Amino acid sequence: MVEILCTPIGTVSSPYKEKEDAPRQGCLANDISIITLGEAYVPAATSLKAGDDIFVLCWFDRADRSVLLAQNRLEKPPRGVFSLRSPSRPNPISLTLVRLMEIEGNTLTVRGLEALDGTPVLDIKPYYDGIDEPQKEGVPVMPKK
Amino acid sequence: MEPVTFSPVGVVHSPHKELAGMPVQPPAAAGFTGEIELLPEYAEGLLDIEGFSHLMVFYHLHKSAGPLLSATPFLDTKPHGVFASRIPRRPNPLGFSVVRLLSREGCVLKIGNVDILDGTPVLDVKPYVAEFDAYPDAASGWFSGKLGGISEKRSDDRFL
Repeated sequence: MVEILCTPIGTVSSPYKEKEDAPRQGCLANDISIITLGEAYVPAATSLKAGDDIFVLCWFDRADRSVLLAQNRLEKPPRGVFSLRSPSRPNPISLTLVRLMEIEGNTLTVRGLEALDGTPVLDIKPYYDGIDEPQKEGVPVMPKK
Repeated sequence: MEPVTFSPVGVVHSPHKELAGMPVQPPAAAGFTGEIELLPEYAEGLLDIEGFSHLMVFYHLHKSAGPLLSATPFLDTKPHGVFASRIPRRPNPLGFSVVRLLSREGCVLKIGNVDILDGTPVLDVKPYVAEFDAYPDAASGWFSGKLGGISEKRSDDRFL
């Protein structure tokens, strides 16, 4: 299949300098990060405002793309990467739901992003309550073996 | 900034053959089923996926006609920046949908609530985990109150 090229729209500045510093998921730590957009993309952020919940899609540039089986930190047997939320996967796109704390020009201050400092940002999308949250019955955190 | 390269891991098969007339988001796609067919070399990555009821599918909006910075979404009557919308014509044409996982057979995942165009390249699959992916008290910005009638809402040709 044909490869796809994407140019990041911005970069994350975060308190996490090494993988060991980062939480497993952003919502588990709730620290503040800054997304700096390329100037050309500032008009695309129109209508975003402080208090919005948004999805940030990043490119986990330090992830291992050769991995298909990985171990969750909490459990022993390896699982397929498509049944995990670990960063190592063929296309290391991360998706994190964050709270937009402030937006000023090309700078977005967000809470709850687990990306390492310097991570490229690919896209931002709004969270839609009623679209992005399916019914909760039968949604396990992890399947039991 | 340096570009990044995606290698598709599979393809979506769906009943939606044309861009116009599609359900605009998964809640408008109840009853539409389809498949994610992974390339055989990635099948190992599906181990243990069966325990999840919902998946997040990430895909390339391969029929997107080129990027916009702002436009009027299907579900509104005034323009917004594309980062404040799910408009397909965006700087990096990446889409994602939360779909139901119905079953798995080898490399093929049967999925429901499909709002994805037939033939769409799949970039990633992640399990939907409510504890990470949903905020019970989420703020949905300008979108609040615009969900009425979404089950009947279909795309038009404004982004073609």
